[in-house]
Amino acid sequence: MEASNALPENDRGPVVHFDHHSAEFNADPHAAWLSLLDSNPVAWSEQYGGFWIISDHKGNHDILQNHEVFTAERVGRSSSLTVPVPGYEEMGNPEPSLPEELDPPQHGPVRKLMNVQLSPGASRKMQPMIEHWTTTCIDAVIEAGQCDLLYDITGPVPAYTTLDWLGFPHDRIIEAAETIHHLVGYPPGSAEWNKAREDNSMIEQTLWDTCAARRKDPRDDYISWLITQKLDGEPVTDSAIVRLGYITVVGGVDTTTSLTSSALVHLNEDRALRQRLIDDPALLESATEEFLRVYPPLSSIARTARQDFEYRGCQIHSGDRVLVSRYAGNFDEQVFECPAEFRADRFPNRHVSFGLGPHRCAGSHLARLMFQEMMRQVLRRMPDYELDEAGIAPYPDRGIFDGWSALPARFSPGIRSQ
Amino acid sequence: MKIHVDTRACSGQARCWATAADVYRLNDDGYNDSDDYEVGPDELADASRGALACPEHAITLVDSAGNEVTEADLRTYAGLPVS
Repeated sequence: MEASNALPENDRGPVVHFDHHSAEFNADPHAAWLSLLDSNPVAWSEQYGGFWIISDHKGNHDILQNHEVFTAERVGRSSSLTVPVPGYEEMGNPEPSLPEELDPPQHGPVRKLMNVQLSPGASRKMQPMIEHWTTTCIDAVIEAGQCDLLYDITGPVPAYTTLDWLGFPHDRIIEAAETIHHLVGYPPGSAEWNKAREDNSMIEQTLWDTCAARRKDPRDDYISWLITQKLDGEPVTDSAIVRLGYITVVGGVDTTTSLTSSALVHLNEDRALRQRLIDDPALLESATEEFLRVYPPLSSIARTARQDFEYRGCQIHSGDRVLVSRYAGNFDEQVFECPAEFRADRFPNRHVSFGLGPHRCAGSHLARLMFQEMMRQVLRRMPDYELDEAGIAPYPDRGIFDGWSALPARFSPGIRSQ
Repeated sequence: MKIHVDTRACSGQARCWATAADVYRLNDDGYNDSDDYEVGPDELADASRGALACPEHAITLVDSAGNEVTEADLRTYAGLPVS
């Protein structure tokens, strides 16, 4: 490391050996996060130029609800989403992502453009589309008695539902979804990641093209609606629409995929719970929150300190990156009784899987509806599904996003329903 | 008993509404719109459950003397064991 990059006289600590992209971490992320939570819920790692890791539930509140001290704004060209891991710095749009790289008060009006269309009430209006895509995807494989649950159901259903709502061209949806899948699940520098990084520009270009097309010929989709809206009294620009569209693609396609896939893997092991959910479909409501708690698709999120700040005896310096672990927060026994146990009827269940504070996942309500419809239909139409244990594979890199790369399954063949 | 919502902390998680839709209202953006709502005696259990469900800890109940109901009391009202 060059002297100019060296840390100043370092009073940061306790110092832990922690690298959320290492092979050691990826071999068992659960153990890695819980070890931090148990030993040093506020800690400093010297990886990637140095960053704080906050891993308890209280820390999630303290950092993510305090935007005056911990900004979501971009530092350099790195995404605000994570600590600056090599490879991410030079990717994507040089302008701030909307709305997640804005702090209040600038954040509010931009975020409103998402909230109005993704509130619980607005999301419920999308239920027929969710049912349509779930039925269509399961119909395509139900007669065969085998499929890959990831590539045939949990991947395409959220992708078609979300991107169709957005206005993304149908013939590009699967390509875009696979690009995001590879960007979030594979390590920077891998062959999959490098190709996805190139394909990523296709997603942005498609959004620019779609925006131009909808200005001439509006349709019933989110991009057309955005064109009719104003931001700070001015019409929403194409640049803003493209960035709002991009966050919809990134936030919408692989996250609900990950949650649903994890739940299906869980129920491949826990057959008693699978039977309980089949016998009592109403249990899915509270079980959804427990699946979210135990399997957060986005396991950590970063902020940057905008001033010196003493936090629980540790000296955080202005400019320090702070990585907050949603995953560990969800296993904090100060908040969750017997956190290691999966309790389908757990209440209250104040998990932090959608994040806390102003940047709470805008698609959280839609995500729940998509998850629940996929689970209902899989449990009803392929209740005896059995994963090929030898063929299932988690993401190779689970430090930011967690999820699955393959879920081959067999089940008793059924009949198409449409 | 009144509902008090810290509107700055409310981030639109909407778990209050998902848990107790008869008591909690949301505005068009999906944020809690029930600040100052007077909770009827038959609504106390649901109002308490909705407050306990909030991941942001943005909801409290306030009694007629202006005192915040403790989390332990919310659990009691909600019919949950007090841990």
